[in-house]
Amino acid sequence: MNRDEEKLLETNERLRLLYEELEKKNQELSKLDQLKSDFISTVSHELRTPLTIVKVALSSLRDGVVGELSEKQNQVLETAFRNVNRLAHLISDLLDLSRLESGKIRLNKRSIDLNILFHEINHNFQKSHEINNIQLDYQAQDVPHAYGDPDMIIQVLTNLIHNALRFAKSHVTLKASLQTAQPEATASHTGPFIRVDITNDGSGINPEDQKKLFTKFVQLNRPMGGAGYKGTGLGLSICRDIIEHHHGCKIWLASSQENVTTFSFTLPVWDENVYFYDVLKAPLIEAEGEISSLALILVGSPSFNATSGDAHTNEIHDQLIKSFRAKIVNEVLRKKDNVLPYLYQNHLVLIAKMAKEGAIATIERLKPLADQVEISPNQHLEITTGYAVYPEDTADAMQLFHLAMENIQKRTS
Amino acid sequence: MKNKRILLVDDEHDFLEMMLLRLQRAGYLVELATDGSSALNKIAQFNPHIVLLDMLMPGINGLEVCEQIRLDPHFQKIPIVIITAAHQKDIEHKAKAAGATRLLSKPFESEELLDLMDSLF
Repeated sequence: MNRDEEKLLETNERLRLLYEELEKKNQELSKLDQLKSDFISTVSHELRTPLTIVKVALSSLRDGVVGELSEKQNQVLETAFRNVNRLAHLISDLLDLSRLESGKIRLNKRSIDLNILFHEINHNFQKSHEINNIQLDYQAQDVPHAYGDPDMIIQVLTNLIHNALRFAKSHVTLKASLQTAQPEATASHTGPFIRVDITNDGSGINPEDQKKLFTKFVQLNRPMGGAGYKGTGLGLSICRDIIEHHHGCKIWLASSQENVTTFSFTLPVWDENVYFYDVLKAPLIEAEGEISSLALILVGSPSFNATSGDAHTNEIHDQLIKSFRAKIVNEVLRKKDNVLPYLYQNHLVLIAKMAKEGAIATIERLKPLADQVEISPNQHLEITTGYAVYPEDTADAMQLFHLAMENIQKRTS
Repeated sequence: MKNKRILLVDDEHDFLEMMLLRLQRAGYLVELATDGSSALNKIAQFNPHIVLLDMLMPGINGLEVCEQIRLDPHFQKIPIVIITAAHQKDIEHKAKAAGATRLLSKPFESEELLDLMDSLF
């Protein structure tokens, strides 16, 4: 072995040791991070019961359950109430954040019509006293449906609108638009996406403060412990974590000298194939872990095919699918089974933890159920069915669907 | 809400005391149980219209109590509310599978509790 080779071996060995050390440190850090998340989760959880007792006790006092209070006593009580609610928000935010950071959260992603979502959010804000003299406008026409967890997106929007209303002089606007490519900062996601902007005409935010805004417990215009609005300082961190849980999406802020501040975030465009993969992923992993079977059962019908009729015809069509789906859920499936809420390639998709025999028995029970559904006088719902089973037929989600489609052909020919 | 009976099950004495005060004032007849076993013993005799069950209790937990109540044909349709300090999304599946009608997340206010009771009658 010559000197160069010896040196190379020595360097390699040093690198190996350094790598091992780094790996060990990483593991220690992950463990500490997990401990921190578990601690926050446990503490938040434990705080909720005493907090409920205090809230119910205070509201009993306020509502005169144990006797009338004087004006001064009521004032003191209101201060206590306000601060108990503040504590409740803080605990709730801490728990949300720890769930998001620990990765324990399971998103319930669906197709989202942002126009309807904006309308509902606007309606809720109009009812609240927060809106004061600020005008809240929204616009999401001609934007395709987004793909995300609607409850979580409502949480993000509500949080951002709360902030915008606090700083706005007269206007807050909420706008969704279709973009063909992600902004530079979000290069991990390709293809079209939906961009949502929440803009207010407030006092603007200087670049130094902008950098701090997504940091936990940072609240602008209010140093910790100082006077002013009593938020939790966790809202934007929660928003960022929620958005980043949506297929590489991003949230950011732009604030100009003209005193206009815009918070923007991206969301994926609804794609039934992505949804189909996502929804099958968890039960497939579970079935693999338990070494059990998973059946994919497809139910088609000429009556399911998309209509291009008027609004009334479309509504009847949607209602038919909805009610037949509900019948399957209530009368055929077990509680742990699932039917996708949307048609996939014009078929109802049933996912059930069962082997071939179970799938066949389930299909047998679907036919009489369809006979009970009348689509016009003396005409009943006609269905076609097919199935494929994991892992007996295939281990691939898409292949499972194709085999179930082939099975429909076989069963009808 | 006169003569409507509620069985309230929780192991926290202070919680029971506050809830009792509020529910009785709203006109409900309330029977208390401090654990799952005594709830199951009392239910047939008290014959409640609604059961309010804390999820985390020593011994049999709220979900197990719920499952056992549902085994009795007489109580298959009775509204059962699970009171929980956990995140709603984390347990709604389990609660549904156990046969619960609704979830009530802590911390809640009296209005929320009373509105929920109203909606279940």
